[in-house]
Amino acid sequence: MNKVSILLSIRNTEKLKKTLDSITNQTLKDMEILLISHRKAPIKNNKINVYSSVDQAIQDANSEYIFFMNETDFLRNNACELLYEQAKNDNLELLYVPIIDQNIKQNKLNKINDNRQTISPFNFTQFCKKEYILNLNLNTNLFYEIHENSKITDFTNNELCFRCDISENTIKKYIDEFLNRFPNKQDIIFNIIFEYLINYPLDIKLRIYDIIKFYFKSETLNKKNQEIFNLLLKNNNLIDFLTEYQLDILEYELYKNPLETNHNYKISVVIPIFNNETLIHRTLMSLENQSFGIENIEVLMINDASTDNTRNVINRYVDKYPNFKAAHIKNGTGSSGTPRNVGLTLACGEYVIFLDHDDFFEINALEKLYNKITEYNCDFVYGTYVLINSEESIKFSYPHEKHGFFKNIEDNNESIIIPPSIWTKLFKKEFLLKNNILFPTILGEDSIFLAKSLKNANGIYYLWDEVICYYNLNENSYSNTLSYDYFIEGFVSEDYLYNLFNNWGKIEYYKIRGQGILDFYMNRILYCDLSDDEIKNIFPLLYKFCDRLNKLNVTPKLDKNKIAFDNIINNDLKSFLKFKKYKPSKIKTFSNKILNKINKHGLW
Amino acid sequence: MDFGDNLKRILYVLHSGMSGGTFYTTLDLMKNLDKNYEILVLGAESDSLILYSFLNENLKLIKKYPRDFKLRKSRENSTIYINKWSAKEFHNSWATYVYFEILTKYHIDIIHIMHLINHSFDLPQVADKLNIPVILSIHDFYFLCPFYTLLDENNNYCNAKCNQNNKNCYVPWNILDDINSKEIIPKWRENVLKMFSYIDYFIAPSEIIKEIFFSIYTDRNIINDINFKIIEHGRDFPKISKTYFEIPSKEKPIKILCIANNLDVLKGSNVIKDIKKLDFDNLIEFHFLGNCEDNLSKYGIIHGKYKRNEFYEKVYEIKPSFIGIFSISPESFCHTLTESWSCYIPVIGSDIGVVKDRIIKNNGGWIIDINNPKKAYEYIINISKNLEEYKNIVENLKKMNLKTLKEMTQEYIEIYAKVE
Repeated sequence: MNKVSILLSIRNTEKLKKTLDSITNQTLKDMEILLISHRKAPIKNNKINVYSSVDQAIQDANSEYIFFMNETDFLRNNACELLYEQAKNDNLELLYVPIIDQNIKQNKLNKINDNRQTISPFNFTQFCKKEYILNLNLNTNLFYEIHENSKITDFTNNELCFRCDISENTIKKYIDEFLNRFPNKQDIIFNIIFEYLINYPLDIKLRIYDIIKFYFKSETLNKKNQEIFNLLLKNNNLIDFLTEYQLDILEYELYKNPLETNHNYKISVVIPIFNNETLIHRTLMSLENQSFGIENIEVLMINDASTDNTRNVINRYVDKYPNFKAAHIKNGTGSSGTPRNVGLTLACGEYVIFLDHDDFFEINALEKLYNKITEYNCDFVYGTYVLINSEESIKFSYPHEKHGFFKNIEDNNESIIIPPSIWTKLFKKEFLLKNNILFPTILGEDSIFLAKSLKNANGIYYLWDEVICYYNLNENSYSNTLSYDYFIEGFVSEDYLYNLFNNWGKIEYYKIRGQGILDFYMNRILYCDLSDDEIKNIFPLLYKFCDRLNKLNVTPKLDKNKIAFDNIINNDLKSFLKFKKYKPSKIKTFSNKILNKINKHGLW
Repeated sequence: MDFGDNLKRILYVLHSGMSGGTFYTTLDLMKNLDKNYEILVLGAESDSLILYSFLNENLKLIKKYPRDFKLRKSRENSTIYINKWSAKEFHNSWATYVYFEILTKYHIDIIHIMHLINHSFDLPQVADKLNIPVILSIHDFYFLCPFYTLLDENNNYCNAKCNQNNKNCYVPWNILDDINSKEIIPKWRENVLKMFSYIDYFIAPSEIIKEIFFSIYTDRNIINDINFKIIEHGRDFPKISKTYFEIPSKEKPIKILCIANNLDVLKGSNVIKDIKKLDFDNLIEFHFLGNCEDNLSKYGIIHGKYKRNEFYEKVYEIKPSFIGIFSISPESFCHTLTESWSCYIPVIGSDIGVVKDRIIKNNGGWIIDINNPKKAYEYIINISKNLEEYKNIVENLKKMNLKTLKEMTQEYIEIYAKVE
């Protein structure tokens, strides 16, 4: 007889390798693995027993203890040994093993307490004496059957079992089981699922968002959860909900200078800052020396929980200037969206502009913008920028595009393809607040912010040749790293923008945007270094993006992109991957180094 | 770069071109320092900033930072956007970027600014942000007026006090011709003073410079006796064994040698002409060494350009009785004065600024009223007749201890040690 039988539930064999590796590397040797396949066709493998039902697997298990695992869980290599020893020594019927979810940073073993109500398959798995389980009704909801009937139980205080992912179906199954068993305790499972919504990657968030909307009802939740749920219902989509929610719950402290609600600065400059203790001086110096006069400017430095000396550096500016404010966010948000929104809510200025922590303004930037926005009473005014790095500087200036004053987007629908370059734009603060224009917390936040501004503005001015900002090209910045998350967030942003214009009844504007953005994304996806598995995960969003544009008669301008585009709109992942591997030669249209760089970093 | 790891790193900041008095003074200093410090040099032209290393007495280009932008005018095309330096831009975002880049990338420990033409005023502020000490040497009057020679529209020395008319003053360099000095002066001085607030030590080569600066900038929290040091330029001269001058004689015209890198109005070409015009009896024979206006040939003998190390050879060939320094600008130190004295030749100099001050203080010659040619002419004739006084001055010059480069360098090292 073995000491431990691991009952491993599987739905998707692709994610199984890490799990199986962690089992086969266990220091405990007297153990066996029984797979429970939820597929119609069980896996054929002579070495491993595969079952289609849990009860049969339990019956057949030839061990003292049974350990339940899911395909996305994996173990520390001495997990079974430690669990066996603890269960054996204390003669336990049931040992709870917390699952440390790697997507949820705040896994807290110390939160485990005797509040057994919070126990669910989301956060615990079970290590049980076989002899005890056999006495239970195996045909019911087994997790809760074990949970409710065991008498000699304990928790392990060790971090032994980990989760890297959870499937949509597993989530649904767990919720079904829980609500079926405890229909009046919705809050418990709501809290767990909501934690997933906040912490999981964006692609999974989207699915969890729909699950929450489907399963829960406001009236059955407690007051706190009702507020969250109502906010969720109020917003038509996940992105808007997360934006508002993160702003609502954000904790930050203001250093020294109180907010001056009665002080009307002409312009508030909002700067999100993260770990930039040296070059933040460059950014702030461009404000100290503005021709507009520093006394007319309120500077809001929003420190997104920097771990270097940034906090002290920016506090020293507050010590020096009464109009410099430093807000220190307690737990980092990881993107510039929420810090910018914090700045917007704190701003006392009549106008507001956003500046990034490694960029800097032209010396007379604010003077030029302010003069125009007041002269024409615009909702926003914008200029151009210089892309700068140590090798070269590139100024963007488009004399052939419509410039000067235009009333709104309908007066100049090409304005939808202007680079978002949010740091070149001065907004009337009331305009942003009145229209609830905030930065979403995903990549593409500037495009969404700008699209909403264009949609709502009544009076815009384009200073086509005036440099406002120097954009420091940081090769390592998130927006320049072609990561998995980059594409997920990028295509979710595109989905958002599509819906924005579609719901507004102006899908033709998205078509104009698409003509500009399609080759940009095609270049990036074709030249990124993501694995086939990652591309496979991204592909549904990529398909949705391309399919919509195709239906709007938007196709790539570059020949090499046309082939890949055809693969995508035919939903032909295999051919797309093959084409991507072939790696078409360099982009011919943008043959010189500068234009390649611009294509990669500047515009689309 | 081929530097070692242990030495402190100094950045010398210069203006246009690697020539001229400021450059040679800096070069002298760097040559004597390069065993004690790692040295970088940031030069500036109207279209670029240029970084060099200085090692084994050689400048080596590290990187050129062009001011011009590539200009993207449409989504397919790009051209060049020309960007030129202007004195009107006290602050410049691009230059600030370059300063941050250099100071952080090359881990500069000390900055010694020799000049800021073709730079912006941002460098000291950037250094302050990065806790890097800054020493500023004053080589001319740029920090009083962008037209650093202090000559008004009539080429008269203004003593840093503007007259009331709006006529633009003497423009010493065509890169400054986009400004009217009188219009810009209030803003200029306001911004200079702000920039001065980030300086740890000021250095001038003569007391008179300090006096002029103190008369204009009166905020003693920023510029004061403690942070303003006088370090005269030092030079290493060879031991003299030959005689380089001729004692004036009634038998021959009086040879007056005028030496300048560029003998123009500023360096007294008009003074020379006015004096010579009064010399009906041909008692004075002017000689010109260095670049000079073509029409000066009517007034004396042109000897052409010379290199610094050819000075003695050329002077020996000419054997003047006097060296004439007739600058109409007050100068800040005047190397020619020191060079003249190093070969024991008395100087006849302008009655303004540093030339006047040093001649009187060292009893090294005579001063003339450059605004009164007749008086000046008569005075020159008179002193050339007073051979006893002439010989006394020569003897005095032979006893004079001219500061050496080593002595000068030591004074700088002491300042560097204070700020480190």
